[in-house]
Amino acid sequence: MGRFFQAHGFSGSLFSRMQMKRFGSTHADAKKMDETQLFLMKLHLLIVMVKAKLKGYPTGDFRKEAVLENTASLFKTLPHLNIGILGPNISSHLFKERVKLLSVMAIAIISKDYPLGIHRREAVLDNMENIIKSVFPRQKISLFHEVLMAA
Amino acid sequence: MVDDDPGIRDLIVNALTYCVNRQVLSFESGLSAWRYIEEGKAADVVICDVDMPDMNGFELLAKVKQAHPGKTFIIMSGVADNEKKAEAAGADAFLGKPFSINDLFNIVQCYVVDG
Repeated sequence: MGRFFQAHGFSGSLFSRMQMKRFGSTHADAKKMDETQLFLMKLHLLIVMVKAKLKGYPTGDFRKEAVLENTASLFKTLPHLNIGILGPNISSHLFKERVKLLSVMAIAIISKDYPLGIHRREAVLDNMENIIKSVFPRQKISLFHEVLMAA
Repeated sequence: MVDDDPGIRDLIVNALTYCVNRQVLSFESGLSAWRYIEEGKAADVVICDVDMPDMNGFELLAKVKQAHPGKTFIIMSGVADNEKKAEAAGADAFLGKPFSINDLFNIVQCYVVDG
């Protein structure tokens, strides 16, 4: 289709507006999503939510509700989860307890507006960094500044 | 957000609700989503799975684009061949499964922030 547009003299900007955008996995990696992938996405989302709160991004009512829903969903999944992705030196039980703790921390500081002092902030950061090291050791957890500011 | 798999549907709704800090509606079939859109109710961006009962994603895409050409429609699938079909059917974007939280943030950046 691109060659058609170029051959008929359409500009690049016109073509790019009409071209379908692409997100997600590549053509070669396409497959259904399993329980572990969904769990890791929920955990990734929880970490973004907590990081954004610590950085001072705004939290409106819908964001507070999304935190509650996401943590409730994580809690539901956690007991049945077989976390094969954890390294041999990481206890599955301790990891799950850390995720539960982060969920409680997220509800308290984001959804329920409990105060966040220096020591509480350090405890949240420490627990979160431990979880990141366990399951996302090479992945950068990005905060999308414009998205988080827009709401 | 249209998907008959509640695990994926609820996760995407949570992530998008958090991103945009607004209500994100979800439907478990193409037909229920179409009934809502047909009434002229607001839906700026539709993210839709392909395989669903009653009305599949491509059928919903065709109906939405015919009635509301300006609405953004994103087809989501874990079947590689559906990407070409989505492009041919006029989808604005394709979301390949498995995807990441960053992909959902990128979609919001592209269609909500950048407009």
